[in-house]
Amino acid sequence: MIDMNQIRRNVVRWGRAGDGMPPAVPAEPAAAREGRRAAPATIGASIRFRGELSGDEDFLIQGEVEGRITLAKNHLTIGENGRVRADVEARTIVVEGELHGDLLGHEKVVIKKTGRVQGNIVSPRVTLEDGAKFKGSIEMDPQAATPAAAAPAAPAATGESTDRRRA
Amino acid sequence: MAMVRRRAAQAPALPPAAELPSVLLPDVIGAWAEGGQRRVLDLGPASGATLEVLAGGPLHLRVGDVLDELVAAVEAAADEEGGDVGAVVAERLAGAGDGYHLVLAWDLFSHLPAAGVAAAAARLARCLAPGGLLHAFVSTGAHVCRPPAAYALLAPDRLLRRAAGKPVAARVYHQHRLRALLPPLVLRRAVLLRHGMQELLLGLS
Repeated sequence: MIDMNQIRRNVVRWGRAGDGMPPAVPAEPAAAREGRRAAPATIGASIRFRGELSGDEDFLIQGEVEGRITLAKNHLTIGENGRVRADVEARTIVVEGELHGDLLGHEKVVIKKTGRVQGNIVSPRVTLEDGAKFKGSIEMDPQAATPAAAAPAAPAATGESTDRRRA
Repeated sequence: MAMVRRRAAQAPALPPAAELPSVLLPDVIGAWAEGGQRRVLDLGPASGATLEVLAGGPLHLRVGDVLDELVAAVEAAADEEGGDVGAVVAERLAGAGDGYHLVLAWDLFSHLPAAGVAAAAARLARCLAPGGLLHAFVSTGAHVCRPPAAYALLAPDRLLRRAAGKPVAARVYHQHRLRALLPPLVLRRAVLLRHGMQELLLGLS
């Protein structure tokens, strides 16, 4: 299992090795920092990963992932080259590539025009762009959007099995 | 069946992409109780526009995207000696679920032989909640496009129909024939639209 927090802590620790030296990059005003999102952690196009992926930062997948992805407070993008076979939980989920699995989006789920998804989606808001391929069920309630920090809700039990070959 | 095909009215064909009015859906969608979850099964391909129109409140939408496979499998079974159309329909719709307030079977019946219509109606009746409805279009034109057309709901009273593929002879079913094939579904309302399209609302008997 990859723990993105641990990786982040290590990166910070290594960055402090040169304490006492002037910062390489001038300090950026806080307002400017808040105005943009930090670059997401990325699984590159040549990477294949199998297992459980979790953390507290945004994530971009351009490679292959199989298993489970949990980023309950963060943003997950499955890029155009990304191929994922996993159940996914995130604050927002954007699919531009291929995903087989169930999606739980605490804020929203977007399937872009290049996206291909088979599975069930639970989220307050779901957007399917024109051209997006989707097969499965969508459980949504636009009035039930919860703050990102709220405890994740379990997917609603519908009593239906997910048969991804048939209706 | 050949006789049925020959009786097809020569209505002008719909262009590949055309807007269609819906006379019947506004009443259905307008009648959904505020706050309660609406459960909808769409047998056609996914459409973001349809999702937006239906998502006025809590929604469970199942996207089957099964029409193309279903029609091809039923035709193959019907052409095969001893082919079991009912079993094919049951297999293709095995995961459809039940308890739906609305089933969208927008371009299905005009592609199926009579045995397929009867089997699909029987199976889809089991998908409906008590009081649930099935919304469909049938064509009285001579041809339909294969694969079945993709529909998107632009508003409760307006759809976009996009057809691609090659034209094939339509299975034309007039109301008296449909009434015989549909039980346990019954025809609640039917409206003739332009281009020989007929809009149907079916419910449980």
